[in-house]
Amino acid sequence: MENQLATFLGYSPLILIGSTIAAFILFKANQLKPVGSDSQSESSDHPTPKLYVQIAAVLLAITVLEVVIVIVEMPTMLLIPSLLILSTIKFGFVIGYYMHLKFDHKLFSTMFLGGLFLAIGVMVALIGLFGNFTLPSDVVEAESKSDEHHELHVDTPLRTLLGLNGSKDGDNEGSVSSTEKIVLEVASGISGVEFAFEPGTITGNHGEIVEIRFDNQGTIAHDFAIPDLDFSVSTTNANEIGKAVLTLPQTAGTYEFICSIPGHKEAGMTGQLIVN
Amino acid sequence: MASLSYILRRPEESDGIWGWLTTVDHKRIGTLYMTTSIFFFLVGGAEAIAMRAQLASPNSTMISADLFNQLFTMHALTMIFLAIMPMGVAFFNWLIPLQIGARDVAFPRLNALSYWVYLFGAITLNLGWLTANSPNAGWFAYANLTSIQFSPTVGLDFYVLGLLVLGTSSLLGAMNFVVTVINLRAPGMTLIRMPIFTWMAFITSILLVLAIPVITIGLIELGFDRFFGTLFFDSAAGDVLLWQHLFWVFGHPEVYILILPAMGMVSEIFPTFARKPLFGFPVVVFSGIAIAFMGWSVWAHHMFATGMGPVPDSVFAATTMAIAIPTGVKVFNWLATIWGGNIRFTTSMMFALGFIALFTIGGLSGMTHAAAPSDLQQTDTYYIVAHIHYVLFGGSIMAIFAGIYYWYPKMFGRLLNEKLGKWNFWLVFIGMNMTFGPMHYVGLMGMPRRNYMYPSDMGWDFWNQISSGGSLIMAVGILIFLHNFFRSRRKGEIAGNDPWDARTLEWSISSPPPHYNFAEIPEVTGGDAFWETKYPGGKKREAPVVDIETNDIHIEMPRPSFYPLITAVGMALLALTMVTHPIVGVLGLLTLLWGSYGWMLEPAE
Amino acid sequence: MHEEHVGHTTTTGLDNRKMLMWVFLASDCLFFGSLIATYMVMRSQSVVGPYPGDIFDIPYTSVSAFVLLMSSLTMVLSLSALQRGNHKATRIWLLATAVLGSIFLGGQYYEFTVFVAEGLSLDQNIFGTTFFVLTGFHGTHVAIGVMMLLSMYGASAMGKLPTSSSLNLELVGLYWHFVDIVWIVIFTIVYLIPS
Repeated sequence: MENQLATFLGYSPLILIGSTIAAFILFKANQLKPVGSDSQSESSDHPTPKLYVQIAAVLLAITVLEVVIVIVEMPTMLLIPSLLILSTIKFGFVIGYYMHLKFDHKLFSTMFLGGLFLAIGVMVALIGLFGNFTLPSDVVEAESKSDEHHELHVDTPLRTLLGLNGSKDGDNEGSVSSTEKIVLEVASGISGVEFAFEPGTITGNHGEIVEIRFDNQGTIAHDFAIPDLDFSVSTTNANEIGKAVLTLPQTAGTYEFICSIPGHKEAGMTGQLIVN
Repeated sequence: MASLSYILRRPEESDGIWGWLTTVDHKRIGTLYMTTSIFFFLVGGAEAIAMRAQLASPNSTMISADLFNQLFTMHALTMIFLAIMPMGVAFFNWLIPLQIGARDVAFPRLNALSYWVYLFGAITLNLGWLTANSPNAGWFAYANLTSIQFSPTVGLDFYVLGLLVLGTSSLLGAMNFVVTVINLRAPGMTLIRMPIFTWMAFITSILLVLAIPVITIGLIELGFDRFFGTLFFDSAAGDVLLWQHLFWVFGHPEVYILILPAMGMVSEIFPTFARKPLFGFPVVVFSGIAIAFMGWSVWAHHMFATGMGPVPDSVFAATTMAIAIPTGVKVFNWLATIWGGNIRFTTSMMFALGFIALFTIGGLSGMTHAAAPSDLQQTDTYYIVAHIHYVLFGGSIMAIFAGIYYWYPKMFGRLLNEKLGKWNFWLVFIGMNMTFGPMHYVGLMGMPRRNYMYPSDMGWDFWNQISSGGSLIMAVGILIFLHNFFRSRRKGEIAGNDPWDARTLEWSISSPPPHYNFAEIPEVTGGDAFWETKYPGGKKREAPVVDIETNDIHIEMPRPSFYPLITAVGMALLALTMVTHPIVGVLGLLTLLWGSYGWMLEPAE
Repeated sequence: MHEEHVGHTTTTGLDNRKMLMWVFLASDCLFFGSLIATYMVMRSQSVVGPYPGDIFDIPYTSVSAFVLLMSSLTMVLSLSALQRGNHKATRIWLLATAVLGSIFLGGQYYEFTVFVAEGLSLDQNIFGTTFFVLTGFHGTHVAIGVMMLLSMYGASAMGKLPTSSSLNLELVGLYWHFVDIVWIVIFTIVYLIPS
């Protein structure tokens, strides 16, 4: 969770800068004067048909730009903020000019923007909350294609939206099928003992990329976590296997692994990872 | 097209049954809402009595598990959506135009539509009883118990469809009231001079406008899962928890929708019966706004037990604790209003005082839920049931009783009987505490809620008996209320314009008010507008009532219309398509089109 | 700016119906916001394909986005014509808006049939569910809008849409533009932002 929070905070300057640029452009656009005069207009700053057409041209141009930057596959870290900014500009033109909000009583803007920002707030909150989404066990065991997407650290929607796929532990795609991977196996529920890991000690070499395979042979859900390395295999139901990839630290040491479900560590689900 | 509108042209008079079916008068619509919601309050009460009868003794087999599930589901749905909310709307309808010095709401036909849609939604929700298959998954209907796989019977279809229809009613009404409050105020009535009840009604309506769409989407998604096999709340392909989030993003503002009107009512009643203006009027207003605003940030406190993680748990615990502040501020303002006042202990005042005490108790238990760790112990136990009922019965319902005793004279021209009222109050107050008080204890002793039966060696038996006994005492109190309500229509003491010597504009006209409300729209120069006219410079003077005949005033009021009723029928039929036959949908669509086009094409007034 | 003659005076001087429309649009923001939130929360969670990347045809959809944007232009031109008393132009632009809206709907329908043929259905995976319900409700809003546009056309053709009633057309226009900006959001979030 801290990971996701940190990532989000890291991206917020980008979003802030993007919104500021969008707001600046909108502000400048606000000062657009209608080109040519229309004998019908009641006052000089009321939009004329000509202005509406010009705005339509701008809307088209922006849409073309959006499609272009998607097709040329601009790096995601740039792409997403750019798309958001461009869409906000289109949005602003339509509500400001076509829907006349720029010229109407501020009350209408307040009403509409109030609803809009609440909607955005709810959306962002839900996306943030679903960062804690854990997959049901049958998905963990599902066919290999889905493994690419889900098997390892969960891709939260926010991370995906921000163009950040893959966990701290390394890139998801393809790592499962790597033949050079070292697998460390840990199980629980052996011989009817629910709250214990077997073996109690696992060993690896510093800097190695290992796959932890956690085999839950017990009767209730458990997980496997190494708090000091900020690593975990997501909650694994009984008779399921959870997997995740871990890059062992560069320095040797001993790290405790536990089941992070409240009470389980105290009941005996603890062990040691020795890094040589 | 012009000829079509002649088929059902707007009637000129409004007498008899057709008068009620075509009315667009906010006062009549308010009365319709009130009587319908009293009816459903009794239905919900019967459902409660049945549950308490079952729970009076351990290991009881009087009511089956499935029937019990239907009872607690329908009890909650009925009380929340068919009793408390519509009763609030009854008062909005009656009082908002009168308090702001208007002749009606902004959109009278839309107002009528809201009522008929409510009635049809209420019927839809209760249709399950006909097939012995009411919704039975709790009023919050958590997924995926509600999936077609685990709830194959039709009960939950009625849940989805009924609530969609009811939500539409609330939304339409709320939009109407928002425009009314902003745009139809008498000259000189700035927002800060507007009566406190109208303020709370305004805030409640804004909450409805914003919250109803969220539950609408949740219900649509559930409906699609059930009817079309989509995967929104599928345990493997979708996300079960999404339902809970969508539900509670609506659900928490919903509880403020339930309590703010009640708070508005008592805020009018205390000044009248303590003969002192509301203490800190602007602060009470801003607290209401703060509660509405902050109410959007607390929803996941209903989900502490779902494993969201320590960060969300902490955030929502903090926001929940914060929202107690504006609520507490209001309580202090009420106390300060009463303090040092010249108090008259009318029935209305006693219900309002009872409201403060009982709502505060409910608020205190609410604070204990705000801390996620203690909530994990309380969740799904009777401790929560106690909290809910102290805030909803001890809060909303007590205030509604206070409001009825206060405004009934205005609505029907006669006072309710005070002696019967006192019996009503004491039986309900004592009965309520007897019923719900012990639930705090029993819940902490581990008795789970939503269980049809409990074993006999848990130490819960005695207190459950007390609770059930209390429910019977409450029932007697409510029967006395009913007797009072109907008897006083004919035999109550004539009220006159201003029986309580009150402060707001509705008391400046006759009881009941004439069709047009005000002969002349008043000019408002301050808050408590009526008080200023009555006591200029502190001495009482007879407030002049303008007579429409002698002053040769001609007022055109909007004529009645058939189209709200027709449109509502169309909506109801459309909703019922999913549990009947496509032909019903076709019929519904055609009726809806007929209603809509007729409405647009008939003369606007 | 464009104050219509209001039958009764209102406290703010603003027309009740226009205010009602804006209140409704605020409410509709929450409606679409919840649907879009549902889509976004489930975005990468499909267990089986087809996935968005497999199935979207961005150039095709951008054409239908153009069409809807253009319909907003024709809508505002129609209103402008009515306010200037040019009823013939009003009707031409109204019809153009309805036609463009219908083309959009046709395009959506075609796109849906292609997706279904490629294996994406309502119940295939969570992407199918959330995508079709979101765009389906948007399409329903567009269809209702087209109905209103044609009704306005009919009213104008029968001489029942005088300049003094231009508020009626303005209200239909507000609804129409709203439906367009919802599409701007959907186009960006659903189609353009890669999953």
